[in-house]
Amino acid sequence: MRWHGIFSVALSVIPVQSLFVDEAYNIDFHHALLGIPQPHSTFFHKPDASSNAALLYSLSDKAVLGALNPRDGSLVWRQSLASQPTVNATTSFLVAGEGDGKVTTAVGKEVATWDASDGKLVWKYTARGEVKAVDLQAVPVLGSSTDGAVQDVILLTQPLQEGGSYVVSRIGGDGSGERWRHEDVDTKLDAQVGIATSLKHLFYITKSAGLLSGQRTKVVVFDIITGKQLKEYSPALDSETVAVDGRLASASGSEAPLLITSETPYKTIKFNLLGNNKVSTITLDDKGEDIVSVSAHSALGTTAESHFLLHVRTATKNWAEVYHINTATGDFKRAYSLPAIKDASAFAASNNGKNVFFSRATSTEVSVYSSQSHGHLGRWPRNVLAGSRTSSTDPIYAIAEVAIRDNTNTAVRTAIISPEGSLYLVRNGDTQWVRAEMLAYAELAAWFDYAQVTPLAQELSAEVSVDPATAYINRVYRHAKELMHLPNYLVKLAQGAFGPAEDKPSVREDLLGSRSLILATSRKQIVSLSGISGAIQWDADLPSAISDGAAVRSLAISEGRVTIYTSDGSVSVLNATTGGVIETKTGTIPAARIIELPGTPASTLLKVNEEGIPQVAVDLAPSVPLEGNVVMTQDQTGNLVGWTVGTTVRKTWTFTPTPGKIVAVTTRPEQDPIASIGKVLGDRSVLYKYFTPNMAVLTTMSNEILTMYLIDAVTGAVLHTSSHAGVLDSFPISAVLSENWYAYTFTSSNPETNALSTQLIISELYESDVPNDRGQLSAQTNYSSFGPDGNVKPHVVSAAFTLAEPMSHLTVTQTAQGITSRSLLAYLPGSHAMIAIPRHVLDARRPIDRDPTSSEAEEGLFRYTPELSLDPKTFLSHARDVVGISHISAVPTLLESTSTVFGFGHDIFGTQVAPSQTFDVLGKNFSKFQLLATVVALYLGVLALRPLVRRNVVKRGWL
Amino acid sequence: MSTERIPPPPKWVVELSSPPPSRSKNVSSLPDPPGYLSSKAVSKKTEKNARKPPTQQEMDTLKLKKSWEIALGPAKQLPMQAIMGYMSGNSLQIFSIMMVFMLFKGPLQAIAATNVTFARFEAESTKSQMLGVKAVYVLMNCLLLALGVWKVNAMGLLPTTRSDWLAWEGERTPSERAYFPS
Repeated sequence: MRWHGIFSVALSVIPVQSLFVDEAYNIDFHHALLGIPQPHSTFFHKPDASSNAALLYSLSDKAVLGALNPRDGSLVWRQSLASQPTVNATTSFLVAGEGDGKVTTAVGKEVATWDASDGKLVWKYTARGEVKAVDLQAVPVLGSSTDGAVQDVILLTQPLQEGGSYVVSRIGGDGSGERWRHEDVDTKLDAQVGIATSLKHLFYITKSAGLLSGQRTKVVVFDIITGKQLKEYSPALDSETVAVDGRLASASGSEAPLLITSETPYKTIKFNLLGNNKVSTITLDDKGEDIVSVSAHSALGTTAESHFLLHVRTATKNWAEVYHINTATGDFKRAYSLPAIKDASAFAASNNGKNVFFSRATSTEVSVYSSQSHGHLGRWPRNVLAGSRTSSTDPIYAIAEVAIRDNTNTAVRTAIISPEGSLYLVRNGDTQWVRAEMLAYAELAAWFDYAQVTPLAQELSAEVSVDPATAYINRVYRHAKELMHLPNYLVKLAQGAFGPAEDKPSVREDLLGSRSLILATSRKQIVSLSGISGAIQWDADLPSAISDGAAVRSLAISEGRVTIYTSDGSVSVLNATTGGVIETKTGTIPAARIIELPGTPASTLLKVNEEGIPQVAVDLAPSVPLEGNVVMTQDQTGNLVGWTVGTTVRKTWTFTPTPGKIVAVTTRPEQDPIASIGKVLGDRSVLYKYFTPNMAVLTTMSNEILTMYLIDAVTGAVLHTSSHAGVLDSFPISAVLSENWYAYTFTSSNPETNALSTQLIISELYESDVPNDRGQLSAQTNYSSFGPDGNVKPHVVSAAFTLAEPMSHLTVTQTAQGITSRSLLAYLPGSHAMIAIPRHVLDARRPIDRDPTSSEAEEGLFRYTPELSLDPKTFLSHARDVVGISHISAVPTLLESTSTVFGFGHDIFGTQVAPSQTFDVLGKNFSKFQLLATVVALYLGVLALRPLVRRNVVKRGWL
Repeated sequence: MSTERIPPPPKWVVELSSPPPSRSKNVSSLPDPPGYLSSKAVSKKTEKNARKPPTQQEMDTLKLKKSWEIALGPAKQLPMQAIMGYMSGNSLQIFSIMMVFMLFKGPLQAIAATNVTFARFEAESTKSQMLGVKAVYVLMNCLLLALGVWKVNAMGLLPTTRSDWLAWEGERTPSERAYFPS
């Protein structure tokens, strides 16, 4: 009764909890990801001229630039070029100069140079006008960087709208901006454009659809130093190019950049050495099969010999042809070819000064060839990483670095991208490390509890279903069987007793419950992660029966099965423990969203289409939903529509915000247990909480005005409204609804000072403003939203806090019973951190402009301060740099005090949060050994004293 | 070993069989040494101080008086206990808990043992009066008990407020349920 008060006073003494040093890196896990590396912007490069070891630089298709340590695969540094990781950043480019210690990127209209060893920004250049970068090439440096030569880059930009001009410009490597530019107004937007550099020249290549002929290729040659146009010619090349990464030219930056074109069925290949009008034609031997694709690989160094490799693929075979170029005449000569094998191969070209090497990686071996002759310099069978989950898979593409010591010893490091999206580093044949980059594409997550599938749980549920006598016999039998494990158990217990109460993952798993997290990625993969350690347990592709364009819309887990609903209306069921496919059902009704309702005989699935119209998923399982349920969907115009679902589906209400548009709909978490229906005040009276499972919070925006509506989703009636002016929608706006409160955050600008401020608003809902009063419904035990009872509005208390930086993706911690106080979880996009704000700090009833009275203090309220400081000490992610979190998910553990928190979107971050401290676990400083030693010592003491005491007692009897 | 000669009896045997002659008058006027009481002197004194036994009526009055004293005893404790209760504070500490425990244990035990307490003052003639005395005794103990209850209430241990019964209040069930797409 007063315990509550004492407890909260104790809490208010420690207003903000911080993370303990010994918890950091122990209770949390983090996958710092790049995204899948793009082949044209991934390379081994020495961070500066003096260093011996090269780093693996990569710009991923999520526009994240990173340097990896090839030794262990750890991130040396990382930069997100588009402030946050973006999906499908296909037009991003990365180039590195020769030993000047910098790398240069181009994304959108921005060119930036980064220090290669620590990732710090050196300079940044923004292209003029509405343009985007379509190519970036390094200018070959004549002379070394020690002479003061700077590494310039050539940027090619494409206009975003028709009517603009393509611009080729040389950007100074010292940050001085544009040196010269050339504008091309003639080329249309649908043309293919590209640039290539040689030591003296810059080639600007356009390929546009001509009026009569199929395609017309035009090459403009510039003096690379002055930017003066030297010549223009049109080689007779009219088919598609076969450069490795979709670029027009191959071997840019070398002595002999070239254009290679071909056309299905790739019988003849045409070459043009850029700057030379001559076009050579070579006929490929198709080895009796249709050639599926051809791609060219050439080394990028300025000093490298002009040799290149054509990778030829048929349905069953892979081989390569190596060609030498005569740079003087522009002739091509076939040097040798590599054998055709059945395994999928990836080829990579690399150079070591003048020498060019071609590496071939297959699923079983890695081999290295010199460009001069066909004899292999080294050949190693591929070995799987010890303890690795997957076997070595087929490579999609590879990046290699060859080292030759003493002219005889060849060593090769190959970075291999596998189809499932892992980045492998293979040193000779041995896999050094694997990075699971596909996790950066996670879109949906669901938790799988292993307890659902343990034999004990199944047996217990079986016991519930049979009659008591049988169940009792069964139970006795089960316990008897368990006795067999007793000796083992005792041994384990004894071992545990003397070991320290440490925090091995297994111990924590016992305490927290073993869960795994099932993720669905935008690459149509399903990945299972351990909920405690974050290790990948299995990954699986969606069954091939699912059509290609379909995206995963919903994940549901029950009875050890993962049910995946895709947008084409199909359902796939996987085994949640192994990832094996159990069944696939193709549906006929496409679904944008899925709702599960109680129904007969089993729960009913409702598919909501793109227009927001729900429909019973009769194509999957015949079922009739129970009457009286309301379903809320959003239609195409953004209005919210309520539907009554029974044997028929009828529209009940429509909610149109005036003015504005619904940006987001927030509802209470599916599992949101409420331990107490009232809030006990300091004088032991009760303020009753207002809550209903049918509440929803709508975020609407119009003209910088943010309006939040709290509605009853059964009738669509508005319960409460609040409005904020000057809100900027370029900043994150996020809301969360739980128990009897909702919180939202936004960033607004002051109209007078233009100062930005981020605010966090918390609104608490009570049945009445008077303590000990349950409002209009008083002691009623049920109510209907459609009757007069539905008119009851909550009493709302709100408080606003200002934050130092924008906050996004609000979520709330979850515990099994809801007894533990809650914490608000959020991501800080500016600080790259995840935080937990204790709910009692965000109490809307904190006294304003006065100190709390004694009864308020007893309740745990303390004086309101408008600033909410986000102390880095309270960051859940502590020193970790967590990038691009777009979803946060919290689930209860077996311990009431603890909630497991997981964030994904780009990086994967998981940890455990105990908002009221871990009151149900012994602390780490608790020593079992000390306890047992004390007991034993006391017992020995008693034994030792026994004769003494006995003698004394006898003496006292006699005297 | 047969004895030929009987040894003379010990001195104390001789002295016991022939006590010293009674003291002469002169001698008897001499005071006894401090701490020594001759049997004669003692017996003489008791005889002199002996009173005649009190009457039954006097006895009853006396007993009644004594029992009233006992009956009002708890009332005298009352101010002290109240001060102690005030001083020990309302927080849950070992001292205040002990004090509350004693406040309950003492009076309850006393009430249970009322008849035993007054058994030695019982008499046929004062039976009716004794009833009143016992009633006052129980009342006084109840006062102490009331002090205990007041103290427990001040400590917040009595379920007298709404919050104490909150756990038994349920949340209202809505007749309709709304579902949202996942």
